[in-house]
Amino acid sequence: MLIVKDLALKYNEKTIFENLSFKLGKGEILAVKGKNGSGKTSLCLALAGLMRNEEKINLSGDIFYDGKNISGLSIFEKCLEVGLVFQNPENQIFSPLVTEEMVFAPENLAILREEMARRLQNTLKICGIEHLKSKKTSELSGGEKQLLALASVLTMQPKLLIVDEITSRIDSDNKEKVHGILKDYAKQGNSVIIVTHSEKDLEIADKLLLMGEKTKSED
Amino acid sequence: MKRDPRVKLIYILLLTTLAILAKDVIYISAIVLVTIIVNICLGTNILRAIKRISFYVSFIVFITLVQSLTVKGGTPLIYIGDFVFVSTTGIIFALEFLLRMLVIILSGIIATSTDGREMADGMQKMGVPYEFVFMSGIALRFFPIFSDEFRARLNAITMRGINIKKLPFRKKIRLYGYLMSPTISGCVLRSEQLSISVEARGFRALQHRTMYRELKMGLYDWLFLAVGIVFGAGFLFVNYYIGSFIPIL
Amino acid sequence: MKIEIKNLSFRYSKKSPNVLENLSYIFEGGNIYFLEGKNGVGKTTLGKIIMGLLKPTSGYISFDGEDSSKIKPADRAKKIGYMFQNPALQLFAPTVFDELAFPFEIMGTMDEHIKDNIQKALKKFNLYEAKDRSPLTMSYGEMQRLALAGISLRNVDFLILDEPSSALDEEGRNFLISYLEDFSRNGGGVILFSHDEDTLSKINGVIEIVLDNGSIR
Repeated sequence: MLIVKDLALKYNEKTIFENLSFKLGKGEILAVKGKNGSGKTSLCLALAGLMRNEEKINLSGDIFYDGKNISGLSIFEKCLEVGLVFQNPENQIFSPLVTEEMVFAPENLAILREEMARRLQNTLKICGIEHLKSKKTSELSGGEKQLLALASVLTMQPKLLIVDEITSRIDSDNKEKVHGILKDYAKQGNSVIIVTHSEKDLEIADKLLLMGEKTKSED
Repeated sequence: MKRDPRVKLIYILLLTTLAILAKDVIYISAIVLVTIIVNICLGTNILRAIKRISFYVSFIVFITLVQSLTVKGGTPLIYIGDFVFVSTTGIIFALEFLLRMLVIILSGIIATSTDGREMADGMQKMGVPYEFVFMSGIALRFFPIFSDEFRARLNAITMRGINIKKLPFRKKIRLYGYLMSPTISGCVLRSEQLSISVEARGFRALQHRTMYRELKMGLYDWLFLAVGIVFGAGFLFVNYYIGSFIPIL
Repeated sequence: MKIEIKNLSFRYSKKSPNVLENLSYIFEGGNIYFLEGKNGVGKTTLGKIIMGLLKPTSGYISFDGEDSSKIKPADRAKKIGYMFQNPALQLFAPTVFDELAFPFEIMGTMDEHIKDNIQKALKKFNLYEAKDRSPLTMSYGEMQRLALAGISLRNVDFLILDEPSSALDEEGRNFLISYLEDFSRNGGGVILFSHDEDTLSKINGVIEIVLDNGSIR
């Protein structure tokens, strides 16, 4: 279970968001919606424990994963808890080959080869990108890259999956597929946070978090 | 012929080292010949690869010519009065440089014609720390990223109705200068974001990582390697025992 | 303005299959076209071919009857405003203001009237507060608005926008829709490459077309 308590973020003394508190249980999908510049991506980074320790950035409050404060977790422990799919896949994809990109996380987490192969095959199938298996990442279209970005985090099998505007560049067939993937992932006992502007994405969510004003609300 | 990347890495190291240690042009020529043979055995397309880097090859030829003109000694070949333009020593030095560069280029072709990931796995298996392998791979990939970004921005300028070719020279220089800063900033930003995304996927989470690709040296890999080592040992023996065939004139 | 495409085919290399195959279509000014298609089907490729950034393997494109093969990309861009899928790659000036001023400065056409237009565009596209900021520090949605603001300063007859609303919030999306409807009411043509059904459902009089198997239906 994810518990967020009084989370606040200031950048150069300017408040991005404050008084942010919510809970997300296993099997639940939370949609995060808000205007451009309201701090949605920053929230994703904070939840994933990836906020940089800089003078300009002031992050306060607590984030607990199953009772453990995220600030006390190692990189390895964080990766087991949370996976983040970035808004712009160009900022995430770096390998020349599709399979290489997908096995990067399991290799880092010392997953054994047989299990890695199983996760790779399974994830290619789930994401509907088996036909891209032997392709170079430079040959992929924007939407295909977005699917690959999702797949390369799914091979990590985090308990909480955060996806930042994942359907923005995907065609309608694949959007439905992504919705299916996220719902299935939640049904397996994991949690999902989807940051979105799309009304269709909201349909799969159990909860909604609106960002944009200084006080937040949770439905 | 598909060989284990570790065999290729050892050959690259062996051939470039021998080229540096070789006493004279005759020895270096032998290394050049062996490097060509190794490339053929590994199935690389030398001519196509050289065509792709023709700019650098022309640059090396240019440096060779400069060397032949600037290094003096031995018997003058082209001179006016006391001023010597080209001498035998100059030609020999220039030839040595050219041939050594040729070995480096041909060895580089072995590396570039191999899947980057295979080479990275090979280096890891040989004990090179993964962080170093990873960073070298990313650094190499940033060159094409940098040039892609620069080209994309040039396209963006064209799409604003500006015909870059028709701009006066001064404005063109100003334009390219203008683009360098955001292209570099773009690359820096991208590298920052990339560092966050790889950390998000467990980079340096553990001391040891596993490898998806299985590397196993087969019989032919060992034989190929053995031939290289025997050749290397024999070459060094002849190189140092017999010495140079060409006295410095 | 009319953009006519006739029997257009394109492939990236001799070994690769045709991305576009005998594609024929006429885009007319005064209309908003919403071009959909599966990921990888060739929407961005089509946009780049129309703008002259890619050369077709065969076929013909004309602008108001004039053969496009004789028209350089920069000259096409004087009539057609093009927005890339990744707006970050088309922004390069040190500040938002400079981003809009740059083309006029480099062409030597900057004057008080244009400076005034730039100020108006900044306000219209809700970028006035950010005018001294670096475009690279902006959010994706803000970059998309800035790219569109840049196009709005040129008197183009057509707009080709590649995923212009992918990162826009509801307010940004509504603004984009009203801008495009206004543009087409004034005789301009718009071609949108997009998957955004929320935007599609809100545009009045939009012509929905699909790129599939290399051609438009």
